[in-house]
Order: sequence, then C-alpha cells, then structure tokens
Amino acid sequence: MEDRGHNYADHLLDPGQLRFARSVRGNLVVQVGGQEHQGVEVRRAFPLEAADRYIGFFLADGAELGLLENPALLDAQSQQLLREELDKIYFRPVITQIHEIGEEFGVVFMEVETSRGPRRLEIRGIRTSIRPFSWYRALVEDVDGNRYELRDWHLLPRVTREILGL
Amino acid sequence: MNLVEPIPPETADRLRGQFHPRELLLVLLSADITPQGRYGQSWLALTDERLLVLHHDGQAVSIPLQQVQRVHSRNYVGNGVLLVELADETVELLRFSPSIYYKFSSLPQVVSAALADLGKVAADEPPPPALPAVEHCATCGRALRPGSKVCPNCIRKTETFWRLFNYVRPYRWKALGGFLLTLALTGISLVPAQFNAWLLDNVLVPDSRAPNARDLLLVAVLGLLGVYVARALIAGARVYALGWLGQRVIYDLQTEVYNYLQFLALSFYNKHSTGRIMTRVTSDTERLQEFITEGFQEMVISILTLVGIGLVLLLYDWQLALMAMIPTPLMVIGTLFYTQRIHWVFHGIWRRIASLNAHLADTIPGAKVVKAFAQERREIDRFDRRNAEVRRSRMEATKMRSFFLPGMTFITSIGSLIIWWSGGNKVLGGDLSVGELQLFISYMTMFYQPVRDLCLLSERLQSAATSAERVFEILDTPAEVADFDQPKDPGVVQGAVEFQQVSFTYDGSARILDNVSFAVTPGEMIGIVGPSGAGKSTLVNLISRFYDATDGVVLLDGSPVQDLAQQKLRAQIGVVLQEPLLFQGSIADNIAYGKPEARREEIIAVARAANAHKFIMHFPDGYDTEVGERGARLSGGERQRISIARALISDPRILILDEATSSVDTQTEYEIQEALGRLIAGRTTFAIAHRLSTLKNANRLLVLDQGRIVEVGTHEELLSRPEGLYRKLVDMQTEMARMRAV
Repeated sequence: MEDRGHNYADHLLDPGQLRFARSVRGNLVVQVGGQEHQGVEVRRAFPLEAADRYIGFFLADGAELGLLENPALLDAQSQQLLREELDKIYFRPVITQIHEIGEEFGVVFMEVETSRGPRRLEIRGIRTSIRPFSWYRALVEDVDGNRYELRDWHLLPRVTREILGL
Repeated sequence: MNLVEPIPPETADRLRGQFHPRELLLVLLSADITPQGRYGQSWLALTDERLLVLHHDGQAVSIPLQQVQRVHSRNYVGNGVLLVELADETVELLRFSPSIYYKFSSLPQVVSAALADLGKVAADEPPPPALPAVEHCATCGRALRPGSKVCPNCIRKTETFWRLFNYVRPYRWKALGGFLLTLALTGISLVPAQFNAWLLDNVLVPDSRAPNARDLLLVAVLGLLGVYVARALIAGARVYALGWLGQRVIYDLQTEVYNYLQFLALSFYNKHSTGRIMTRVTSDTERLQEFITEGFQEMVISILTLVGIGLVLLLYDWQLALMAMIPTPLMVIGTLFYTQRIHWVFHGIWRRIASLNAHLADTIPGAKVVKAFAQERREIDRFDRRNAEVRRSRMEATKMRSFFLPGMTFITSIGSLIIWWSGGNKVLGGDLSVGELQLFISYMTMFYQPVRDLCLLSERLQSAATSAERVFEILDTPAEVADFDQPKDPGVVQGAVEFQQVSFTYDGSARILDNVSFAVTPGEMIGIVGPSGAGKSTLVNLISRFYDATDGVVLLDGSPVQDLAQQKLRAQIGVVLQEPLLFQGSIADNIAYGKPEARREEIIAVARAANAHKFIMHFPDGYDTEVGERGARLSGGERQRISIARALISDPRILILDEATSSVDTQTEYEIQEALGRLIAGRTTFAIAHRLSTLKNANRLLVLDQGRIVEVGTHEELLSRPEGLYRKLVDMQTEMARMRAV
C-alpha cells in the first residue's frame, strides 16, 4: 500500500522480533526486539470476522506498542501463550447444543450445552442481542451481558431459527 | 423566451392608438396585478422609442426611452414590481404575482440592449439567466411538477392502468392461467345448485320420484362429492397462482422503485419527507399489486357471473327472474351512496391516523426534550386528543357499516321473499317444479354478490389509481443530475478545481450562489468562511455534483463536472460532514463503505490516520463492533473519526470537510484536527468551519456573504483589512472566547 503518512507499517510488529513469556506470577511478558514489557493489553481488531489475525498491543499507559498481523508466524510457545491470553480476554463459549428453547413476552430462554459447560440463558430483544456474522455464526448476548457464539445456525431446526430470528 | 405575447383584440386596438406607424415593437408582456393591488391585467410594451404601460382601466403611461436609465424588477413577498429608473426618480411600472416572475426576469437586459441601440449606455453587465417558468398543463392549466410533462390531473386513468399491466406482461401466461382457474371456479360454483334441483325433482319429491330413486341418490351424492373435490382443487390452485403472480409483481415494482430512488438527485429527497417515500415503496406498491392481480380479475369475473346467471334465470322463467331482480336497483343505489359516503369517512380516518403517527414519530425520538421540559403530561394530552379523533372517525365508519351491511342483507332477503311468494304460487299451480324453485333461490343469492362487488369497484379503482400515480410520480421524476449519454471517465483526478461565474438556486428565485468565480490548484487547502446561509455548503455540494450549477461551470482538472461520470467523480472526493451518518453494520463495514473490497490492513490504516484505531481496539468487538442504527451506539466524536476514516478509504484527491469538527468537544477536536492536518497533505482540501482558528493552515480563505465571494486571501492578509468581513468575524469570536474565559 502506498504510504500516505498514516504510518500503518511503522506500527507493525515483526513476528521474528516478537516473543511472549510468562512472569513468575504467570503474567504475560512481551519481548519486542530485546525490550521487555509487562502489563500489556492485548486486543483483537476483528474479534468476530478475523479473530486469529490483527492483534493489537497496548502498553499500560495506553500508548500503542504495535499491531501483529499474523500470529501464526510466531514461534510455537509464543503462539500458545498468546492464544491463552486472548482466550482469557475474549470469553465467548460456543453453544454446542440447544436442549430447550422458548419465547415468552419477547424474552427468549434457552437451556444449552456450551464448550464451557451447561448454561441457561435469557435473551431480550433478539434484533440487537443476536448478531449473525460470516460462516453462519452468530454472537449471542444474554440479558446479563454474557456472550456466546452460535455456529452453523443454518442447520438448526426451523422453529429454533425463527425464535432466534436467524 | 417569447417576448411578444398574444393580445386580445380590443387591447390591441387601444395599443395601436398609442403608437405611431413606424415604431418597432420589441416586447409585449402582460402583468396580472393592477397598481391598486387587485388581480387584473396590465400590459407592458417596449418599442424602439418608448416604454408603454396600458392598465386594465384604460390608463396609459408612456415613457420615452431617452429618459430611461435602467429597468429592474424587485420581488417582494407574494408579488413583485417592475421599476424604471429615470434621471431624477424611480417609478413603479407594473405589479405582478409570483406565477409570472419568470416573464420579467430577463426584461432588464432587453431594455439595456434597447438603450444600447439608442447609443445611450453600454450593455456591460452579463445578463443573469432567465428563471425557468413553471410549466402548466395545456388541458387544465394546472401547474406541472418541475421536470415533468405529465399532468397528474389530466393523465388518463386508462393509460395509468395499461401501464400497470406492463408489470404483469412478463408473467402473462401464468396470469392467464390464474384467470382461467378463476373462470373455472366461477363455473363450477354454479353446478351444485343444478344437482340440488335435479335431486329434489327426481329423487326426493314424492310426486315426481323416479322408480330407482335410491340408486339415483347415491349417484347424485357421489357426483356432488366429485364437484366439491374439483372445486377445492381449483380454488387451491387459484390461490397459489394468484399469490405467486402477486408476489412477483410487487417484488418487481418495489425493486424498480428502490433502484430508481437510489439514482434520484438529492433535491428529490429535500422535497419529499422520508415517511412518504417509504409509504410509496411499501404500501402503495402493495395496493397496486393487490389490484393488478386480484382486483382486476374479480372485476371481470363479477361481470361474467352477473351476465351468466341473469341469462340462465331469464331463460328458465323470465317473469320470475324479472320479479326476483326487483331489489337490484335498490342495492345499486344503496351501495353507491354508501361508497361515496364511506370514502370520505375512510379518508378522514387515514388522515387522523397519519397525524397520530406523526405525533409518535415526533415525540418518541424527542423523549429527552419532553422530559427535560417536564412536558410528559402535555404530550399525553396531545396524543389523547388525536387518538380520540381517530376513535370518533372510526366510530363513524362503524355506524355507517351497521346500517349498510344488515340493510343489504335485508334487501337480498326481500328478493328471496319475492321468489318464495311468486315462485311458491307457481309451484302450487304446477307451473314450476320444486327443484327449479330451489335453483332460482340459490342463483339469486349468487346474483346479488357481483352486483355489490361492481358497485364497490369505483372505490377500488380510485384507490389503485391514486397509488399508481404516487408510484409513477417517482418513476417519472427525471434524475436531475443526469449523466450525459457518454460521460467522461475522469481517470485519476489531479485536484484542480475552478468555478467560472457559478450561480445556483434551489427554488428558482433566491440565489444561494451568485456569480462565484475562483480557481484552486491541486493540493491547495481552501478554507471557506462566512455567516450562516452564505452558501458555503452549497458551494462544496457543487463540487461533488450533488446539485448542478444553475448557471456557469464548475471545472475539475479543466473539464466541466457535468461531463464526468458521477460515480467515478465522487469516488475520488472524500466528504466529512458535521453530522456523520453511519449505516447499520460493523465499524469495518462503515469505514469500507466507499470501497467494499478494501483489505483489513487498509481499514486499520485509515482508522489509524483518523485517530480512531485506539478507541476502536478497546471496544469488545473491535472493528467488528456493530454501530447500531445511524451509528447510535457511538459517541459524536467517535462517529466523526470513523466518518473521516471512511472518507479516506478510497484515497481521495479532493477532501471536503463540512464543519467536520464543530460538534465535538475540545479534546476530540484536537485529535481530529491533528488527524486532518496529516491528511490534507497532497490533497485539494475544502474546509468549512465556524471556528476560524481551525483554518489557520489554509493556503487561502474564501469569505462568502450572501452567495458572493467578498474576500480572498490568507489568514494574515485578511486580518490586516480592518474593514473586512473576515476581520469582523475573527474579532467577534475572540470577544466570545474572552467572555467565556471570564
């Protein structure tokens, strides 16, 4: 891309120069070309559409450390640590099975099995709380703000899809 | 424009009396208001020697051209006057209504030209363009919609309907199939009555019973069963076929209307409210579809049934048939009366419901204002009043219905009473069989239904015609900012912009821009300042060609913007507005709006450039964050920075910032300014700002006032003019800032 003075490239982190480690207390330590940073905030740029790429790093004071385009280019251990860190920040169990579903007075309730265990959830306002995104996935947010991911919703029974507005 | 109007003979005679034989008539125009302020004709004649005004009451004013300095017109409120400047004073010549402003708009130039011929003064001023006249319908004289040659009043209803059937044409075989099914259904509905009659006469009634009655009964019942099965099948197929056709037609109609809306000029949206346009896309098209697919068929069927049953009855027993039809005129009159009355009642209901909806549309989004002023009670009362009116008008309809529907049933029963009485007598006398009497009674009921349907038809036609007109009005509105047949591809724009004597008016009278000329070299940053209503936004709108200049040319890299393909032109112009409108979808979708194929790296890059990357990354969903309807879930400053990123995604050569920072707080403004400072490098930039401090970096400032450029220069140059408008504006803002600081 042509440089328009946006300095996109300046903020890119070189996966060869980037390493992750754990401190004694188990906190993430980021090493960029020999410099060590602790308390780094890790953020996904596209948590839904491209969760495994474009990872942003921010220092404790809010300044940007940089952007990593493709974590797959990191060494295996760093990849593992980064994945753990991201899993901690972005807690989004996947709904694997819907045991029961119903709707009353505009509130949808579900008994489900998730990747992190069984759960009962209530959803109000499906138009805003259930948000489909690519590859037949959907982000589901319940009344308490818990977030779940629904996969392959096009394979769900007709009535379930109707209730969920998918 | 024609400057010599046809003139009535007696006026012509009077005029002729005023002239001497060799005078050359140049202009002859009628005005429509007398000097006393009443409607009435006056005539203005311009010859090579004089100006002559002939009033309605016979008074004549003659002014030799030798004495005339100048003629000009002035538009007051609701009327205008034509003034002539003489050496010592200015004299009012004529008064005229706004309907004919256009006639006199070019007169001053004509008079100057005539004066120039006399060798009196030089015609130096370039003539402003004549205002376009509002065109009137040749048949009824009503004003036509601008740009439309079709008079809504005179357009023949049949023509509208034929046009509607064009939408069925692609599916004509299916439509014909549906029609045949309807015919078959109507035909088969006549059969059971025949069976019943036969059954009565040959099986049940003891006198005429056949010897093998039991067998016949079985045959008859089985036959009836067959008929009912066939009827069910045909009815099902018909519902499906018509439904299919209807959905196709409405789909095509809505798609066409929406497609067309996308290419209509912005001025269309200024003239029509969003709600109304939406109604046209949804309800009106639906009503049309209903008429095209069902209404029309039912109409034909009703006529056929009516004629068919009438003939059958007459053939069986013409006397009885005629007697049974006695209530028909009553029904017709009753129904017609009812439809006429109910039409206005319904009209009233619709109007009141619309007013109720308008109230809701107003106060629900405005809930904050209502609460802030503690006016909940009043809003409730206002809603209540409107709601009560809706109830009242609905009750009126209910009242009418409570008379009409039972009344009609009663009239129908009178018909059957007549048949029972006279038919019964015939049966007793042996002239008619019991079965035939039964046949008569069932056919008679079937006869009344189409009578009623046909009476209701005019109502249906009317409503379909209204909907059709509203939909076709959209389709007939010419795209005002139309591309030429072969628009030029601007290629990669350099960014040189030039205005040559550009004028612009929205409504044909007030000039928003008046003879504006300037030239901008590629990469220059131009600040545009001036009081509200000076024409700043209009000026930049002409660059992106949201509107076309009324007069003069806007050049981009040396070619008139009208010659360039609009979409390719706009793709290279980035626009940031004061109130950035985002669409439902994710932040990434919104940033990539002008370039859907943009890669994620590009999206992040422009967001970073717009100082938006950091706050986006801290949203739980990052760039995948849903912005909500119109971006409602983001703050003003966030929306603004996303809209800046959106403007940058296509790497525009020209950047237009229309009050881009005036609706955000100081900290955000600082961040946005910083981002903008980075972005304008290498791009031709037009920045409109009220806070003049934000324009310090501009290469040049254009100061606009009342549609004219009054000053041009750098910030310092303009400041050094103590009497200048810019200096005045800056002083005012400094003063304000000082007051705030205190």
